[in-house]
Amino acid sequence: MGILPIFVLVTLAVLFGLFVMVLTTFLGPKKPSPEKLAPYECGIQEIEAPKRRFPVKYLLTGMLFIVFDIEIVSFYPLAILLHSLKVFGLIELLVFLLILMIGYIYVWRKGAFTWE
Amino acid sequence: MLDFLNNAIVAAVIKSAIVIFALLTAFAYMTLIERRVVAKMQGRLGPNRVGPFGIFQPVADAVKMAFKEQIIPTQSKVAIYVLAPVISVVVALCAFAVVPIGNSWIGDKPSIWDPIIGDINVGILWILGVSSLAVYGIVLGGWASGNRYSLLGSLRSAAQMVSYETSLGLALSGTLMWAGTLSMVGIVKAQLLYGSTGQGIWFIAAQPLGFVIYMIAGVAEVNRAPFDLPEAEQELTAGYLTEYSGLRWSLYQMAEYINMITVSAIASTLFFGGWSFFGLERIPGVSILIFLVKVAFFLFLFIWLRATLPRIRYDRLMRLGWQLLLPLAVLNVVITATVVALGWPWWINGLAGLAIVAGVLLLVRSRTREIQSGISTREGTIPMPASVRLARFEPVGDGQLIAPKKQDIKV
Repeated sequence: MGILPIFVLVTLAVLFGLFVMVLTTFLGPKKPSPEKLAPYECGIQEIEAPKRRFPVKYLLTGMLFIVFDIEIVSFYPLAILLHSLKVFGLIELLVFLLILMIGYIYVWRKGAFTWE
Repeated sequence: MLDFLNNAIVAAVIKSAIVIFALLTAFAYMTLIERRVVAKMQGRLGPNRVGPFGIFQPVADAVKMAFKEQIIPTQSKVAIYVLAPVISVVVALCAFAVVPIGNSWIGDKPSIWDPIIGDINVGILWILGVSSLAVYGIVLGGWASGNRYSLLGSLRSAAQMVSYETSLGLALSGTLMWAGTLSMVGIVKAQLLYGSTGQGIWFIAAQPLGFVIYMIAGVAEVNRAPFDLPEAEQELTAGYLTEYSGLRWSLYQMAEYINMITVSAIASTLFFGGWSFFGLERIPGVSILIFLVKVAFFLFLFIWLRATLPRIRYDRLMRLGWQLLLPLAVLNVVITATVVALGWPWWINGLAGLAIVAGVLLLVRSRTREIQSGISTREGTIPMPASVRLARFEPVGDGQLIAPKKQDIKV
């Protein structure tokens, strides 16, 4: 057992994905025309190309996600061992969450969770 | 002659092939079942022309998709555009590697032919890690399409998925406290009536709050209705799917449905005892059937939700994730940790969870709709006819409620 069967599944999945990717290039007709290859704009002509830039709000969400996700990852070992750590583990967990919640409330009051 | 069947790699290859094949078939038939069920709920017939009850519809769809013209738009970044759907589907398939599909064939003796691909001791971490890669497929695809709808759809999707992943992870940690292990097989064994680790309850009994949070976050994770903002047709044509056609489009659909199956499988494993059903799982083979029935129930739930609920607005979606689900998940963790660490019985945890779920439902109801018969303004209450149900006024401008003047309201 162990981790080897998982690598087997991953390999098979990648092979399947590549197989379909190659398959699509051979099947189907190919009759390109400039209109067909233009970006979809609900039937009107595109006036300017889309800028590949986006609101900073998304970046903020991403950063918050990293903070909370790392918190969860560092939280799992404590959750697993809680049976044996008992009250010590509980207090440690509560202190950890308290600090986290102070940050959470700060971010909330700063308006990071309000989307207009 | 059949000695090669005792080889671990041969077993892994065959089992993996079976799982991938089963997932793809399940995807194909989920599309049909979804269309039929939604049609029934809306008083239509749904696809019933191709074969009896339309059972060959998925085959027809697949053939049609394969022979569609593939368009690579001029503004796209070709390599990423072509690779992104593949990333999506590979990640979706990989997440299933640690899900225990059934009990060991003979007693408690593990063998290489057990119906699970890899029982690693960090199973949950593998699923969380791999499923958070799913966002790459969508964001890269939307970004590489060179279309503003695609870009907006993929950004929305990314923000939504990362927002709900935090709540999802926290909701799972309550169950992990009860189980005391990260291995998926270990979690199922912790819910058995017998055995050295069996606690005799399904963790839904101890974790109703965690389950509710997990299900909401799970639906949002796989971008399904009512959280299907990334592909909101009315606003974004088809979101990140706009520029995709043919088999590449199918790959995205495939990824979405397989993710649904994975979310259902995790829900039944962590909260509903996986392949166990009050001792019935001891009969060889029955455990797989039990597991499939549980997963099918959750898949039906997904379809039911889609047919029932309207799409949620984007700012409310983010607010729900960050301002409601996340604090609730933390509360659930605190309660569960207290109960587990002090060695209290499971029903205290369950009752507390149920009380919080009921309280939040009441709170949300009282805040979303006023059931009074009039609008209260500073000058007094304006009566309204009984048929009018007022939505709550949302704060406009500097936060003051703006109520209409008396003479503007026609009764």
